[in-house]
Amino acid sequence: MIETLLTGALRAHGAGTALVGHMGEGSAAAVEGVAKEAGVRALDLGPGRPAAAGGADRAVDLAVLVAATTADLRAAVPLSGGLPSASGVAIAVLEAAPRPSPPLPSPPGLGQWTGLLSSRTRRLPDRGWWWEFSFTDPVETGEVLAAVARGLVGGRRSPAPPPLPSASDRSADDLSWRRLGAPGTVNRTAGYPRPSVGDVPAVDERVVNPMGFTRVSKAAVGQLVSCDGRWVLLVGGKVRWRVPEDGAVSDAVVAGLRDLRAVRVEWGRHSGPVAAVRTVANLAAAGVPLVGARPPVWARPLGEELHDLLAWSREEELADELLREEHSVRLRRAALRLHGRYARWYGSGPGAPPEPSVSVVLCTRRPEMVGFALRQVVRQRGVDVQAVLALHGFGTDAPGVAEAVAAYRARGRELVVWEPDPAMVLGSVLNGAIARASGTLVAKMDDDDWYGPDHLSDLVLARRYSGADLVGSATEYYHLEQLDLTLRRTIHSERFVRHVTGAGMLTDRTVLEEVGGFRPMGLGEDNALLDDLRDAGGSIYRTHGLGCVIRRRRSGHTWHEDSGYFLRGTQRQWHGWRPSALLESDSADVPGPVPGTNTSDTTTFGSRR
Amino acid sequence: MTLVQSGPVRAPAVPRPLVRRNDYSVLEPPPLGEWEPELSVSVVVPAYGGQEKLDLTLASMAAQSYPGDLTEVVVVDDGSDPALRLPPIRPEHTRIVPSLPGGWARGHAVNSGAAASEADVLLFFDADMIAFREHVEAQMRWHHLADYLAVTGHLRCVDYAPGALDPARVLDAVRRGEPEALAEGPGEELEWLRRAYKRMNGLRSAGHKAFHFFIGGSGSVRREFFEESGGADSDLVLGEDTHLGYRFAQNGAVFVPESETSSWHLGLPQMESRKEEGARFRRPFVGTRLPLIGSGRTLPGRQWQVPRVEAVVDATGARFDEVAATVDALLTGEVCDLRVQLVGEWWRVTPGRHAVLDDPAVHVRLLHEHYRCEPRVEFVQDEPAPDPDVPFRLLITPGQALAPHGVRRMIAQADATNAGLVRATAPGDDLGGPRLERAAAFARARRLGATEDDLDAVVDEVFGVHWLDGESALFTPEKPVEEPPRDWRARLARAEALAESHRARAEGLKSRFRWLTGSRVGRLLCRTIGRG
Repeated sequence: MIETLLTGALRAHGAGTALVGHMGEGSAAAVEGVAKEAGVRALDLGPGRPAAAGGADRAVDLAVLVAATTADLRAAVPLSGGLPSASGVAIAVLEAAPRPSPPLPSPPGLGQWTGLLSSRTRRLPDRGWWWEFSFTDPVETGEVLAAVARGLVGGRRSPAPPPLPSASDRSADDLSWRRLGAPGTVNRTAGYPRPSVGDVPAVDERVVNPMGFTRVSKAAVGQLVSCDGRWVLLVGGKVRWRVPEDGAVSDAVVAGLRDLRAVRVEWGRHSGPVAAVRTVANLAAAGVPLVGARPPVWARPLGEELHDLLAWSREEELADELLREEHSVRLRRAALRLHGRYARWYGSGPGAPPEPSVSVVLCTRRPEMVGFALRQVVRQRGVDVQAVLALHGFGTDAPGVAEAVAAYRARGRELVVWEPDPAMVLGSVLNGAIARASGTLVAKMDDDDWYGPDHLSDLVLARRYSGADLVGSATEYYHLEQLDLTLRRTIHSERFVRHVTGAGMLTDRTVLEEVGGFRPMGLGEDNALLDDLRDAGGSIYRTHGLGCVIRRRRSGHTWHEDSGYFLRGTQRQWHGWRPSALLESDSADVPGPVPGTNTSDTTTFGSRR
Repeated sequence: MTLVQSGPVRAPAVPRPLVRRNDYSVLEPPPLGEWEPELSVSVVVPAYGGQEKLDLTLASMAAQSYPGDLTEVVVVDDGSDPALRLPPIRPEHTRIVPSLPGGWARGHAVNSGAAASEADVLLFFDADMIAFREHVEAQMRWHHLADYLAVTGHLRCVDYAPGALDPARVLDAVRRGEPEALAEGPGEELEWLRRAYKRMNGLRSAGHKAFHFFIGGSGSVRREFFEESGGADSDLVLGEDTHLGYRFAQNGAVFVPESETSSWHLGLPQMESRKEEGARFRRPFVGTRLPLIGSGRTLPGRQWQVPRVEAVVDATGARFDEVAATVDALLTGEVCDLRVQLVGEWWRVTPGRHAVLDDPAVHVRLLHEHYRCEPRVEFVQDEPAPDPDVPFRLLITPGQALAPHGVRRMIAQADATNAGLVRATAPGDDLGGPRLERAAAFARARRLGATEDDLDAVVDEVFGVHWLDGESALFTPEKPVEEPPRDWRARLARAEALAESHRARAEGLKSRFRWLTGSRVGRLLCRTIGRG
């Protein structure tokens, strides 16, 4: 199919001169035929290859670029600057994970494409995609590639981090076992070339990420084992995936592993230590529940946190879907924060852009909740947090408020306290609070719900990898005070959705401006915001829900439902206070008189216990 | 582990560790031969005829590793003719007693043996079996760890020809720890039991169903526990072991299969060789007494000796309409297999002239008359103590009328979640909805020292409490299953025809595609069209 399309394009464009490039393992074979027909040599455009393309000042009739995976295509974008211009461009990705919307290219914004004659996007068999463009005059091939790459992952525009120079200027290839074992590698003065974290190619989090993680899994456990010096992933004795030489992981591979309960890493020989670590770091970033023996010394570039998570993981525990998801969340956090492309960029020293800061808007009508609510904010870690506290209907002179504010400020965090006119409706109060916020991102938190210390940083991560305009936590956990019961409802997470609850949402300040902020309503202002955002073509993403618990008070809540309302549908329930371990519940904020004495667990549906 | 217990040997402290559901993993029995037994045991051997096999059984009992001075063997002769006698090779303390008058069969013999003995633990052992050397010891070590265990001994069935073995040989082989010498081949396990042990991790995950796997051949329980459970049902001729297991469960027992050692069952048990007839015999006899087993209970409208649910409705001071709504909903619901205990001031129903509409006791009178001829309603003055034979107890407030499926749904939830208590919210009253109590869980909780104040909390620890939304799950009638459309057959035929035409079209397109891409002419055509 792909060969036919390529040669078809060559003929259709009447190409006298052509450029044929490919990137990623397995892509060379696909372009062999067309290169032969065009009479040119196919170029490998992958990272670490010499870019001997002839220079941007040259122009060809047709540029044909074939990438094996989404990640390969995106990795080729920053390296495509030196490619010649072309009046015809054909691009293919051989395998891409299914996405909620089709990968329509997103054109550049400076009129570069005014000469566009035709553009076409079509699906290839086996989950591939094909794009074909004709222009009156040659355009920059790299720009077309970038337009396709943007369209392929979709979502919000985001800066493209530059390819970081490897810490020691060594490619994965230089650190293969073969090279390391060759004579002369071990330098008498420098010793053994010990790879570091920086040697591991960064994870492209827009491609390899937790999207698509499912709470429900089959009982099967995959094994990452060495087979003839290369890793393969075995499931039930059958090879599910052959790990490429460079250790790269694609979105399609991750999508094919979601049904597994876990993947056991059996630290055998792969092509090289860096390639092996890269594979594991990518799988971890995707939230694939990894287990295995203590990683060997050469796997140190994984980073300490991932190293420990792997060393202390217990496979039998993962049969419990809650423990499995907790493990997955820990893995993805550790991997994305250390190996993520953006995380590395933000942390690359002077010249790097600042990480976006987060403003929390917190609106309360109850003076007695101020202390509790501020404690939930002050425990947030991993993000630069500023808070705006709107006291709706009372002032700082109300009992306990001044102390709570002082306690918050004593922790060195910035806090704006605002006393809006009590007559204002909630939506307007929120808009006012947002106007007083200084962060790039705005998060909304409720005054009586519990939040884990990574709540905001998980939302920031989800925004980064999903590219959504608004992200929210799944509100799975409820604590019903009247029944002294903790519930975990079944809410589908790690996916694009129509709705998230207002208790844990985060969006860009610019997005709020685009949709006109919250509507001036006293009730339902969250839903109205989501409606407005959807109408404007925005996307909403829901990440995991282990980091917050919604409180259902005995009385005085804005909800009117009985406790029974929350008992409907599939769920797991525990007597007493039983949040996820990821909430890292603070003893000061535990509800009820006798906390944590009960450990029962009755499951209606879900994993077999 | 070693047993460290203080006090006089004959009065060991009663250990009661908390075991959740049937997961006895918290108990760690000591390795065989490496502990100090303290409890005495009465091995009760019910027998009817079969002197030859009995001699072999007693010979194996004489070779046990469990201390002889802590062991007595009581053979219960269930009316054999000629009467059974004690052979020369037998344990030191061995007696033979007749079955108590007024009954017969195994259950009655078991009760007779229990009554005639007095050791701390009762171990029932059939008279056609040969115990391996550690058989008694292996079971006894569990009873030192907790006082509410029902332990099942392991057995394998081997072929047996009369006269093939003699007691001296059995004594010798068992004493040397070489029981294999007595049988050809490894023998056959009870296949259904082996599978169940494997599937449920040695019954650890069997939950409330653990009693199904209690078998009579070899099993033991603390004497006090046996007596509290009510003993065996003397009226049962077959299946009395399952029923006994049920009674243990109702009394809060944890079921432990002891499979480290085994025993030979001489020949195939009758229940294995004549399975179908046995099942047919048990169905009415066990079925009417044991509401949790068997398909007979699904018959709509039937009633049995022991109902599945005992509902308690406190009508004291309540209005007639409210109580009647609640009780009538129960009586007409899908689960007919229930009994209603109606608590009220029935003494106020007096004969003689009384005010009619203005009678202060008018609601009491009306209720009494309303249910006077309903055999499933009992009038009681005070809340009755739970019936130990009934597996579920339902408490519901007058005025709450369950939908027809309500009781069935509560039982199904209790079973699906293995819960000991199912509670539901009521509209407008979170805590006031109906509750379904599992007798086994409440018995366990009380045994573990729960008081009326913390009963629910302890039940939550031993079995779990599960909450339901009363309004949607219990009070709103289920949607009726939609009838299939009248013309479904025609619609199906139309859809199939359409599917077939699509398939044909797809095939045509496929072959055209193959021709266009696969042949020289086709490609040429493609190019020509493409240029045009």
